[in-house]
Amino acid sequence: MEFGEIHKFIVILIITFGFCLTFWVYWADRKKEVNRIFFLMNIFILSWIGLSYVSDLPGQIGQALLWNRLNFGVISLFITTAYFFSLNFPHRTEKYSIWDKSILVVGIFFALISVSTNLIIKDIASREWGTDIIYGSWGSIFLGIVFILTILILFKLFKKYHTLSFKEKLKVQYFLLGVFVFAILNIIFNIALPSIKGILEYYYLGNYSAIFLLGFTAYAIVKKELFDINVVLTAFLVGIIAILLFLDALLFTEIFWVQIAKGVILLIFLFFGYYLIKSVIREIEQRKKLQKMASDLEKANAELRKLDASKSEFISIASHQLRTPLAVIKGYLSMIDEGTYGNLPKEAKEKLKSVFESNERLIRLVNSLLNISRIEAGKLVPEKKKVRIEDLISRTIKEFSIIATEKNLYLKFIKPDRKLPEISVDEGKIGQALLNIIDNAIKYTGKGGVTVKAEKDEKDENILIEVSDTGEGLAKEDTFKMFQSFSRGNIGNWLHSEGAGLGLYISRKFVEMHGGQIWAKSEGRGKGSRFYIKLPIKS
Amino acid sequence: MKNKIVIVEDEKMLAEMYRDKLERSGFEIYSAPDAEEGLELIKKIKPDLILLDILLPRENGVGLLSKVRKIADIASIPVVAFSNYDDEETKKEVKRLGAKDYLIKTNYTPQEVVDKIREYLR
Repeated sequence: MEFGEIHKFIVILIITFGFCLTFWVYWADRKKEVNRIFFLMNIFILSWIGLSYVSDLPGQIGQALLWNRLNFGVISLFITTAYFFSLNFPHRTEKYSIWDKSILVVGIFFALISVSTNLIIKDIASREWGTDIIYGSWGSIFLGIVFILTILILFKLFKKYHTLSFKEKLKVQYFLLGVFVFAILNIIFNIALPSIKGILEYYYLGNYSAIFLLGFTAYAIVKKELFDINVVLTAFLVGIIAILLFLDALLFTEIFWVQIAKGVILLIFLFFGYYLIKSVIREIEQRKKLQKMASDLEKANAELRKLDASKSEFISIASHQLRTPLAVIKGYLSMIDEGTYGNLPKEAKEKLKSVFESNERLIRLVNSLLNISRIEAGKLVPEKKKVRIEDLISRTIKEFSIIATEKNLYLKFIKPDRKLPEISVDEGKIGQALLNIIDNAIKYTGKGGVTVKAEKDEKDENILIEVSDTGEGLAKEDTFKMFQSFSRGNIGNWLHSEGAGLGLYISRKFVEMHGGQIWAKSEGRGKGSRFYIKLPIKS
Repeated sequence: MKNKIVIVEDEKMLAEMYRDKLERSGFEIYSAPDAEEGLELIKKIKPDLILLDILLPRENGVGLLSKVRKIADIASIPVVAFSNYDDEETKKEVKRLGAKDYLIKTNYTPQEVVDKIREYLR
């Protein structure tokens, strides 16, 4: 078979394959605008390939001018439909503007003048390999418009790219891959070879590469599940190299044993190429699995946060509702105790005090619940100001002086030798943490008392507050557990004692939001315990 | 002469209790169950202090406070916000509108409230 016959065969093959793809897309969904535009665009591309071939046939020299003018008309229509394709692919994001309509008019106008005037193509020159074009006065305008429209097409696609779904992005990637192959081969055969080596006769190879653009795009439009673009790229490169190796062995190698050796190399290459593609597919599948797991986890997390927020919201509302009757009880009890409504017998007064204390416990419980709901909703932010810790401790201790005396306990504050530096803290929150710890210490101490100390640590970086008692002491495992939220489970042992689980958890959170630490130590049951709060001096 | 206090409180029992305590402590008490009546009463009485609940039916205490601040002849009356609604944002807003304090009802006995009021009337 001579070269001319092979050439003809290739052109017929490309055009036939092109038409198959075109109708495949058209029949896949005739109602979709993008499929219809693709249909039109392909008709123009295939006409262009056909006309380019015909215009270079030796027997067609007489009609070559007409074929070339028709060809340029078709190019004008192709680039115009390609522009509308970019607006509709993978779906249209905006209405056609007046500009879009103008582009359609300009496209048709240039198609008409290409075919019917000598403004674009003035004449043709006969060459050994076919015909060369001599441009008319509007030739450069025509080429300029084609260039601008090509840029616009890419711009339109990139502009909407970030708004697309993952699947749609993949479709655009397929299209761009087609454009890329088409552009590279055109640059090689239509620009690089003619300008560097002066070789013009292979320019049609650039035209034929339109089949890649067509193939990738058709696949992207019709197929719902696309291979990842990396798989396609790998397969494409493996395919190209394999074809080149095959052609090299078949056409450019004359010695038989070298041909055999190259054949073996090709087989080895195909073997590894196959595994390379498989490994890329596997890697992508694993990545997708991981992505799905991550997104599932994210969804579950969001759901949990929502549940947590509604729980906190519920506690907040319920706490507010609970406080109103508690305020009435507290108010009237205190007024009765003060003798507002007459003097009570001593015994009644004592009982009344128990009722008042119980009510206070309820109030503290509600306050703790409210604090926890806020902590867990992330709503609590420390409002810091400069505070002298000794003063804060003194004030807090004062609040417990009566109760300590009543329990026959000593409660003392051993002040540091030198004044401590002022530190920036939320007085209310650190005061509350201190209050909870001292309250706890007094509650669990039957004999002896509670000692509070405050000093700077060795490095002068923190202030360390120690609250030690001579009370019940702690089992080793409790020293950690007791600072956990009551809602986190495994704190059952602590829940039986009033409020302990809540107060210490809140204290921990308050201290931690200042960049500090809180912990407890004990030599064991019956040996007293020591609680520590460490607060950074610079915060 | 007795100091006049307007209590804006929708919980009847609480309103009665504070009226009782404050009257016994020597104040002249006027009370309103919502923001609208409260504002009318404040404009009419021009009290020495306003004890203002925050969660009220229809318009809340913050709305009432901002209205009070805009009416020239009552704008400078000291206000003590008084609520069980313990919300940081609301507290900030009330302080921004110049309230003397934001008391959580359950944390104060009526006597302690009286002490606070005396402190702010000084």
